[in-house]
Parts: sequence; structure tokens; C-alpha cells
Amino acid sequence: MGRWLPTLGAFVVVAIFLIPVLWTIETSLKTRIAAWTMPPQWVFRPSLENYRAVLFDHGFITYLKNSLIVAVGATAVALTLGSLAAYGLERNRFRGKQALFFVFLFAYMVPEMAIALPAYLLAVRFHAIDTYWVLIAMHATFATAFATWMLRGFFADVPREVEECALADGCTRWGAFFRVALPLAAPGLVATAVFCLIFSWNDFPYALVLSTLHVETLPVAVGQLKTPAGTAWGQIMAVTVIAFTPTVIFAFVVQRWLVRGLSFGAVK
Amino acid sequence: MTEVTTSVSLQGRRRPPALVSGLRRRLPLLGFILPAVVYLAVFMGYPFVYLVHHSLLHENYANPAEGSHFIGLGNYSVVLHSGIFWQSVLVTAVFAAAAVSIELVLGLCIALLLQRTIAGRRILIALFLIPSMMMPIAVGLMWRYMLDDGYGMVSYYLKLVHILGPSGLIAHPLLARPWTALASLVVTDVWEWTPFMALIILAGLESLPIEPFEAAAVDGASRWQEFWQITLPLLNRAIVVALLIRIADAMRVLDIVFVITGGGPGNSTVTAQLLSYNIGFGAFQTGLAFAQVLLVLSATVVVCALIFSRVSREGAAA
Repeated sequence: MGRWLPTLGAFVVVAIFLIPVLWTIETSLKTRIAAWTMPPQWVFRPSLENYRAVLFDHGFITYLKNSLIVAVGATAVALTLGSLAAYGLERNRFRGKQALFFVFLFAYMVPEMAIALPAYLLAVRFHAIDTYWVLIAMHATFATAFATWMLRGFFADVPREVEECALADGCTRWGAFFRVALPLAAPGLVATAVFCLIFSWNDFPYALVLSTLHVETLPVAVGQLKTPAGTAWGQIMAVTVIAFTPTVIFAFVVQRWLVRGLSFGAVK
Repeated sequence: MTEVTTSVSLQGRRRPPALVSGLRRRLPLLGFILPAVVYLAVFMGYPFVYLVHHSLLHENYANPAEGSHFIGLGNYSVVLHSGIFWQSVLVTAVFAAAAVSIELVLGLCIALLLQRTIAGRRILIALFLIPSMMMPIAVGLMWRYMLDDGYGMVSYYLKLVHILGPSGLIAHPLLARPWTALASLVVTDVWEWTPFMALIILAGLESLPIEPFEAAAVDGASRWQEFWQITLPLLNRAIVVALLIRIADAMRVLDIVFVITGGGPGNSTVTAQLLSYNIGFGAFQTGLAFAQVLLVLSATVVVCALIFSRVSREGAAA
């Protein structure tokens, strides 16, 4: 029995942490009146009305599309640049390599406003404000830093001997990269891509500053739903569920690499 | 050098000098790194240089007639003398310190619990991680709803047990007073990031070597001694990684503050990054916002560097 005690404890703790999520999902299925009913109702007749209303009446389909375009674009850029840089860093020895890593780390940790505010002014000057391009470009910065940092670890796991064989057989560096290292690091690429997608999808500060009417992403649109008392909480919770479902699914997909990704490759 | 010349005479053809051949070997690899470096230099470095440069200028976008001129450290001086800046620093520091330390303690406990879990661990961890993978804005809205005085579940149950309400410990709505509002933000952050902390520490726990524990068992160490003298020191690395990430994140908190308190009541929960947004984007006093964001960034870097150097020293000693 004593052996089962920690297991029981863990289940209880996780259940407590999930209560807010359950409550959110429940609220998203409630009618306007039910969401306002006190005491809180845990059992009721569910309806999908809130989802229909936000997606079609409030145009959240568009915001979903915007978020998706930006996330995929930024991930593509980050994965291309990041995999090249990570490979180059991993297979090379030169002075300042450590410093370069700190630059990448810094690029990831800098407060968003330090980049987003000047980027806004620059984007206005170059007539790029409120376009997909500027959002993709900015999301790709921290995503590239992350991808480089993370993929370096995956390339370190690719045995050098295999590549050296390829090089000895007359492969160029690029050949060794594309034909040997990249395929062997494929699981790492998938995991990194998923993380980049999530970071871009979840980003609020850059999107808040750089997107206005035309390319507003989901987090910005969601943030604006908050209004004083009398708000349609059911609809807001429906949007919340739509916003977090993809990331949760993705998290399940990359479960094996979660620790590595979340710690930026520092803990394996 | 002599070896090179002999090989040249043996093979009967000229070899490039060592430096050039070294470069030739490295050049393709540098070519791999270059695109990312150029990209970051253009899209992150350039805005950053712009930030530093314009933090030294007086500019007022709300009134372009004032023009733009160099004022040295004038913006910094204004920021350092403004009450709201120091208040935002205090709020951010209290928030970060409270949230991250609670997350560390809770995360450590939960990691130990998960380590001893003998069934359903994978699914448990996957479910447990949902809060940390969620969109922070969604987390904020979720808690804003639950904390709502009229329709919020948390407020309702706190009233039920007389913690909240006219006769309770807290007589006013949760988000209506500075300290309870800040505490609400801390609770939200703890809910969101404790799973992250626990997962990193759990990974650290699982990679610990087994020998020290066997030695401790032979020496008859109690579980308490074992935890404090073996487990915790060995976990150093994992804990520091988690701490650094969390501190850097907490110092730039924006999303949850934006939707839960909006910096209110009054300006009592305006965090550093919310302040730079308000000054820079709301009031368009970009010079001030830039100076402020740079000051906060330097503070973050110093804090993280201190933790990092302390730990690498300890690591070197071990």
C-alpha cells in the first residue's frame, strides 16, 4: 500500500491542476445564462452555440487562418536557418563559438518589447506594418535562435563517423549535411518544428504591436474580447479552448522531447 | 611546417599552406552559420541598435513638430527619476521572486512524487503539462473569468469558506486591491509554470547516478539526509536551468497581466514590460520606453549571469 501512496498523490495533484481546464471547457459549452449562474454549475446540458458564434459571427476563422500562416511561415524560416547554423556550430571549432551561443540564448531571452517597439517603427517606415511578412520575420527571430540551440543537441547525437565516411567517399560538406546528418536528425527536426509552431502560435507581445486590422492573430483577437462585467464568458472560453487545443495535441506528439525543448536543450 | 614540405615533395604537387587549408576546410561550415547570423543581425540586431540609438534621442510621435534631437542620457535620467518606473520594477521583482520560488518548491515536491509514481506516469505527465503548453493569453482569460467577483468560480468558493467577502479575511473583490491583484497574478503564473518546473526537475532526477545513493544506503543515511545532501546538490544543474528560464520569463511577463488586471487597480500591477508597452505604444514616448526597456533588460541579464556564474563555479568545484 505504501508504494501506491505517491501514485495516488500524483493523480490528485494533476487532477487539481486540471480543474481550471475542465472548468474552461465546461463554460465554453454553456449558454449565456448558465455561464452566469451562481453557484457554479458542473453538470448541465452542453451546447456548441458558443463555438458557432465565435467562429462564424465574430470572424475567428480569419484569426485562426492568420495565426496558422504566421506560425507555418516562421517555422519554415527558423527550421531552415536553424538547422544550417546548428550543424555548422556543432561540426566546427573556432574561437567565439561560446560567445555565439550566448548571442542565440540572448536572442531568445530578450524582452519582446525591446525588439517589437523599434520593429514597429521600422516596419512603418518600410511600409511593412500589418502584413504577414513582418510577423513571420519577427517570430522567426526567436524561433531561429531556439531552433539553433535545440538542433545543435540533435546534431551532436549524429555519429561523426557516418559523416566522415560520406566525406571520404567524395561527398561535399553540403552533401554530408543533406544526405547524412539531416535524415539522421529527422526526429529532432520534427520536435523542433513543433516547438517553433507553438511559440509562434502562442506569441502575444510581437503580434500585439505589429498586427492591426489585416493580420491580427488569435492571441491578439482573444485579448480584445475582454470587456467589463456582462461579458459573454462562454464565447471567450470557447475561443480559449480553440486556442489551446492545437498546442496540447502537439505537446502529446512531441512528448519524448518535451524536456529537451522546454529547457532549450539544456536538460535531456 | 617541415612535414608539410616533405609531403609536398613526396606527392610531387603543391599543397596550400596550413592556414589556407584550414580556412578551406572551415569555409563551408562557416557558410552554414552565416545565414542565421545575418538573419538575426538584420531582424533582431538592427531593431536592437535602433533601440539603443533612439533611447538617446528626444522624440515625440504624438507631436512630431518637436522633431528629434540628441539628448544623451536624458531619457535614462527621466526614467530613473520616475516613480512609476521604480514601482513597475518593484512589482516585477516581487512577482518574479514570489512566483518562481513557489514554482520551485512546488515543482520539486511534485517531481519527487512523479518519480515515485508506479502507474500511468506517461499519461499523467502529458496531462500535467497542459497548463505550460497553453497560450498564455488563454491562461490569462481563463483565470480572469475564475477570479471574477460576480461570476468567478474561485471567488465563489473563497466566499463559501468565508475567506472572501464582507465577513472574511479579504473584504473586497480579489482584483480590486493592489496586493490581492498581484497575488492573483502570482497564483496564475504558479498554475501555468509549476508543471514546467516539475518536468525539468523530474528529468534531472531521472538522470542522477545511482552510486551515491547506494553509498548513502550503506552508510545508513536517513531519507531526509539523503535528500538534502545527495539529491539536491546533484540536481543543481537541472534546477538552475529551470530557474534561469523562469526568471527571464517572469521578468518580461506581459500576457497574463494584460488580460487579468490590465495593470490595475490604478497602476498598482503595471509590470516592467507592460509599462514599456504603455509608454512606447500607448503614449508614443519611444525614447523613454526604449531607455526603460534597456534598463530592465540589463537587470535581467545581470541577475541571470549572477546565478549562472555562481552555479558554474560550484559545478567546477564539484
